[in-house]
Amino acid sequence: MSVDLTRGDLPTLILSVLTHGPLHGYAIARAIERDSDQMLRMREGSLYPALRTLENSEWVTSSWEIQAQGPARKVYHLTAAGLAELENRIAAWRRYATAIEALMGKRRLSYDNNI
Amino acid sequence: MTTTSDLIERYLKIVAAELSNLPAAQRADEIREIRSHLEALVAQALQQGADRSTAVTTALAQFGSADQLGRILSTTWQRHHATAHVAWWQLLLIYIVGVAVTLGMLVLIGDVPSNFPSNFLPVLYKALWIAALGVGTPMLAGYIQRRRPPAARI
Repeated sequence: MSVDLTRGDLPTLILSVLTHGPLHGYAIARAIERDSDQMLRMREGSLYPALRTLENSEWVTSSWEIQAQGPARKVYHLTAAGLAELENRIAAWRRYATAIEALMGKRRLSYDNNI
Repeated sequence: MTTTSDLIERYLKIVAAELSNLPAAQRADEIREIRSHLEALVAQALQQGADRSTAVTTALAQFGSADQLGRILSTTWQRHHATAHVAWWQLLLIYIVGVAVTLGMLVLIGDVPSNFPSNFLPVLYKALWIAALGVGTPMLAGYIQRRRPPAARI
């Protein structure tokens, strides 16, 4: 069952797919789809505000590049600062996931007279 | 009759209308990039066996609301550029206020000649220099920041 991406998660996923190499917007969307085993979906237009935010923070840079086929495409590259930011976000995500797991592990499976 | 190309052009026109605050070159860049992505989505759908009309409507639906996309892009640009560029008259106003505040501070702390205010000029010159440093230093730092080479790619 696929899940809608929240807007806040998209910059992190973009940084993550760019660790494999420079990509243009359409390829970033396909990479997110593929790497999440088709589990994550998004409005593909939402990529662009996320990419602008990443560029403004200098976590990615971009340039128009001639393609072997078709028109020139704007390709995004991860910067060293972007990689460091990604590592911070992954660490924060893991802490968050561990906390949620711990909480969920303590849930009651059914109500009983002790409420 | 609306053609499939018309649908894409109409979508891009709606996005562009929301980007009126961007410089023309930047706006053209955004539209060119979105057009390229939409065309790739259409090509993908055609490859999967869809007819042209379905491919275009699916691509546009997959991309999301045109005016919402334009508004968010516009806001993102505006937020980043709000403090980056100051008009000359704004700079002058900031400087004048800076001089006035410095003058006031100098008088308050008593760093004025004994025959002040009749001998006003030395205090004014001092205020002009201090304000120039106080206003000029962050402006110079901002200028250097904007001109430095782009961040290294990995």
